[in-house]
Amino acid sequence: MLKYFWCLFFCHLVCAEASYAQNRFTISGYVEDIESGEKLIGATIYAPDLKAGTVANKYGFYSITLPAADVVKFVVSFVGYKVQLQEIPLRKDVVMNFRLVPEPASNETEILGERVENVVQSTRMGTIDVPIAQIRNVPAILGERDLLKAIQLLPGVKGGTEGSSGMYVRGGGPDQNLILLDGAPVYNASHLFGFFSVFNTDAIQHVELTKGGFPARYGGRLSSVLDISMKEGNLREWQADGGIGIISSRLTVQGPVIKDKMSLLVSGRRTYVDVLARPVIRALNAQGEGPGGDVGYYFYDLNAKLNYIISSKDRIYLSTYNGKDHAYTDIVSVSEYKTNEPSGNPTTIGSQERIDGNLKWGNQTTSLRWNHLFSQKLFANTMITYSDYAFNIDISSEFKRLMNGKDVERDYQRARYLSGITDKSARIDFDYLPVPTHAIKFGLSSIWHEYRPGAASIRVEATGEAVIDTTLVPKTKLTKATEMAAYIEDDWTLSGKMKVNFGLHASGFWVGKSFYPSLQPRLALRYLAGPYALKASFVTMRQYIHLLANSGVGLPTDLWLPATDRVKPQAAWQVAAGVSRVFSDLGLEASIEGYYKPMKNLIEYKAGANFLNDPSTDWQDKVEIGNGEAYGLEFFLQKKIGQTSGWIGYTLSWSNRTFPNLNNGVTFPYRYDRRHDIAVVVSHKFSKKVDFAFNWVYGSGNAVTLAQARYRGLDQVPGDFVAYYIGWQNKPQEARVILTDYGSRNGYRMTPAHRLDLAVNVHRDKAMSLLGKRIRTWTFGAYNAYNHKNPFYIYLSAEDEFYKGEFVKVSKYKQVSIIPVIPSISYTFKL
Amino acid sequence: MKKISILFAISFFIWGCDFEQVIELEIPLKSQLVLNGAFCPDSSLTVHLSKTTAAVGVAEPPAFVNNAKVTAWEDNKLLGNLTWAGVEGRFTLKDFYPQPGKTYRIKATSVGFPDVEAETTIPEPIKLRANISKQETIITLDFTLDDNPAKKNIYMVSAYKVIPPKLFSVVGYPPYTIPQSVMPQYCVMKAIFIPQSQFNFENSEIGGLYCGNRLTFNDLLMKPEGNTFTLNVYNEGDRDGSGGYVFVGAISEEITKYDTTLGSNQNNGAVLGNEPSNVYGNVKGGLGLLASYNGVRYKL
Repeated sequence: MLKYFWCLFFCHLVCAEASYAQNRFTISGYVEDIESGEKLIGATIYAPDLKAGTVANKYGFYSITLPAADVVKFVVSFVGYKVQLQEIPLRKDVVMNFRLVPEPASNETEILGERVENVVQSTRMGTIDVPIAQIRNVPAILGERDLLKAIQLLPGVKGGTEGSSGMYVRGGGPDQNLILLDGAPVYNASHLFGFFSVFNTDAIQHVELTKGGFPARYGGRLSSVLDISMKEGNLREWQADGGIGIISSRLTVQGPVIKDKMSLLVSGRRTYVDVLARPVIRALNAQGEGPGGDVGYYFYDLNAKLNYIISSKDRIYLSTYNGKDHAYTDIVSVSEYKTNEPSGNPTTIGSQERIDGNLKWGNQTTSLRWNHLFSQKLFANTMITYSDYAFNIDISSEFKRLMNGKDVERDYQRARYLSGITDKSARIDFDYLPVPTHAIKFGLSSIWHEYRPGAASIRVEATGEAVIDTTLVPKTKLTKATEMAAYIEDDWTLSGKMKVNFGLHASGFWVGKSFYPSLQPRLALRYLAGPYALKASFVTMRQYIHLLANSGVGLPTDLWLPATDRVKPQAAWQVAAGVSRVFSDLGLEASIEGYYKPMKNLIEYKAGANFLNDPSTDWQDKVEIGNGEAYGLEFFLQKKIGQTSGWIGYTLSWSNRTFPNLNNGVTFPYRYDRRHDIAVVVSHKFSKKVDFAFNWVYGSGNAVTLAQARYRGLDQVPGDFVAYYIGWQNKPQEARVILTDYGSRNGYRMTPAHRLDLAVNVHRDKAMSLLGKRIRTWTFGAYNAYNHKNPFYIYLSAEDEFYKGEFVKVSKYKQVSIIPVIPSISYTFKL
Repeated sequence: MKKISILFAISFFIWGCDFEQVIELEIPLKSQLVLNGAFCPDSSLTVHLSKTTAAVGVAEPPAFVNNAKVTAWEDNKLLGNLTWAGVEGRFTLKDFYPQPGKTYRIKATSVGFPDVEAETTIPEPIKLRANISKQETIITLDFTLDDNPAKKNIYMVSAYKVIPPKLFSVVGYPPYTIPQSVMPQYCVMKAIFIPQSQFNFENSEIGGLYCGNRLTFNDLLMKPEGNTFTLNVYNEGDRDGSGGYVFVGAISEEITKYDTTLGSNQNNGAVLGNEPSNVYGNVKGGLGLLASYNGVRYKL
């Protein structure tokens, strides 16, 4: 059936192109920033008289074929830029690069009516394109601009626990998000145990989140694709941007290596709490009040990108990212004393203890891309990428007994643990635009995965005893797997009202002796009913990778693992329907979407298992396999332009899990099953010098498992005896087994979380003789401005209290909040 | 005004840094009956009944339930009512010994609680050949299991010492007699057909988990038939006792499930770290475990 469909489709395409070609010409080229030459991803090119338009792809390339005419009027627009009107004669194929001029926000609403209303025109559902300028304006904790925390404010995206940068999209887990940085996957996208994301917003040009209605070109994850494009670098002049914050500073330098031909961008960020704390720690150590050594933590990010325009048909991009977290401790304690020997020669006896610990984790990605124009209608991007995530614990302790300065006894223990994943991939993607009614994308990809699911070794050295050097899990225990995919999709305009995007994503995964093939059909429809766009989509997704996580808060200890013959690939299908509308006069885009997504073959740790207990046990023996289900409704009202911009997002959702061996097989709510999520994000420009931003978020309580009751357990196998111990006031106590009944898994709700974040930006322009114009911005902010105690976790504490004449243990629930009101100040500059 | 503002700001920050707070969670205690029992052909049919107590508040031991109607069936044939044995929470069917291969169902009814019901099947006896040898502080038990290789069999090994009643006295407090009790013993078991596989089931001291001194294993991953296991029991000579015992037997699957879920039950409910989970139970309408075993006890 599928075979006949594709035959008919290609026949139709050939006929359509032949008939169109007779009296039509193609206009193609790039849309770019006039000042920097930066490509404008998603810019719209629209011919209002012909009611035809297109959108620049992620390399800024566009192509549209139109009927021959003496003059065709084009409207080219992009958020944050002045709309460009251009009349072009179309009597032959034309190559035209549009260069847009950045525009102050205040003027944009006047010409909004002439913009292509992309949210209405597009077939795509569940896709949100947030202007990076808006993301930079979102107030952030400690003034650290954070891409993922801004994404968390979008409907359908939940942020996990307070302060974390985790992403839970439409009821899915954190592993179900494909985060791409210039096409290379980033496996652990957070620093500081999940509190900051790894993306430096100064180096980012474009962000697009797809959470449903996935086009066929995307595959490999069930819940979302976060496609992040780095800036290409200024082709016209050198410039520097930077910022100084409370915990970190950043600097981005970009400019032409060869003007209009080759650009380079280098961007870095580093925290300096460790550097600032070091003299304090040393001073405390000198006074005997410090930790006795060096203790610290830092993280850094380094981005670089080289962009080379070889010719009008060929461009090359080389981009790389390196980021690392490092927590360390090196503590030495020495004690010495002298003995009084009868001989009169005192002996110095002492000991030295040293504890050295290093916890390191980080990502490294590199991608090399080559854009080639085969013709005005056929664009190709060839890409090879490398991505590596590594986590490393190395802890050692050494104890020496000294006599007169010499070692007489030594105990040394060292434990190491390594885990990680490495991906190497190659892919080629084609954009083929034969006629205005068809936009075809097709391509091939292959990923070679290397999983390192936890290598552990222990070394023990003791004076007079044999050295023990045990490798619990060897480093060489790699699991290799290959993932291949091919896809084809077409965005087909059937009529002025009806548009369909359909495609097929075929993939296969080879691991060990297992092979998992998959055919994933994708379909999205759009029908225009007056000012409304009615949309529906159906997609199937397959994911060959699992994340084994203890807590779900994005810890570096989380293990990435492949599907195996015992643990099958994750699978899901998603159906969605919605309505979109643009209110041109108000500059607003609104949409409502409902979705339903069942998921299969999800994994969770077995009760009591974690990454460290019994590392020699195969991870497959530590997991339970089950299913999930998510459904909900999302409302999104966005204003991208004008003096006041921002969005309001509301999500009503349910997310459940069913595991045969968890919760007695009864369905239970997912940890981040929150019924209501509201985000209000507003930025207002009072003047050229002052703007103000705030966001207010509200989320229902996360689901949590809490003790409900205590009861007696079975304690008589074999025999029928009871053990006793002597307890308080010499009373014998039965050593009976007392167990805790937690009721249903995730059966309780934390209290709702809400907070208000504020930021005021004060801009100053200053003309400098050598550096030209310099823009300085002071940002004053407050995170959680009204200091709401949002729950981070709840625990049951047992404290001694005086009760009926004696001390007894009294159990109480305690809620821990970690982030109070946090004021911040930061300084940014642009030279 | 300036001073007031500063004071207000300072107090705001102090208040803001109060990260931990006691919260009142509405967790209504749904009082449930708890039925526990482990049947074997060597003992009369006996169960224990108790009830749940609140997780929060004063940590008093969960109370036993003595006023209940407890009924037993054997392969769906009514056996009769178990009578209260005069010991807290203990009900027994006097002089009735469960039979291997038979399924026993127990139902308990008590005013104020939903009815509870559970059943278990007594395992068939295992064919065991054993040899005991003693050295100074180590007692070695070599044993071989000859069971039905076509069937999934679950085994248990347990070593313990029976401590007789003992007078305990400390100056300043009245003396007290500690009743007869058991103490787990430190053991190492080795299945010689699997190189380097030593099952260490060292247990905590008295006051810890009594259940921790059981080692259970099944023959799905290894076929024990015809192979010899060696169990070394380390005799703790400085303790009083009547000598050690080793139990080797077949058990119902419920015990394995119960044991494997015990560890994660001790988590106190913190969101971070391991997810707390319930201990396995098979009692419908309430909590607890009805299980069975059938084996041999060796005096060391």
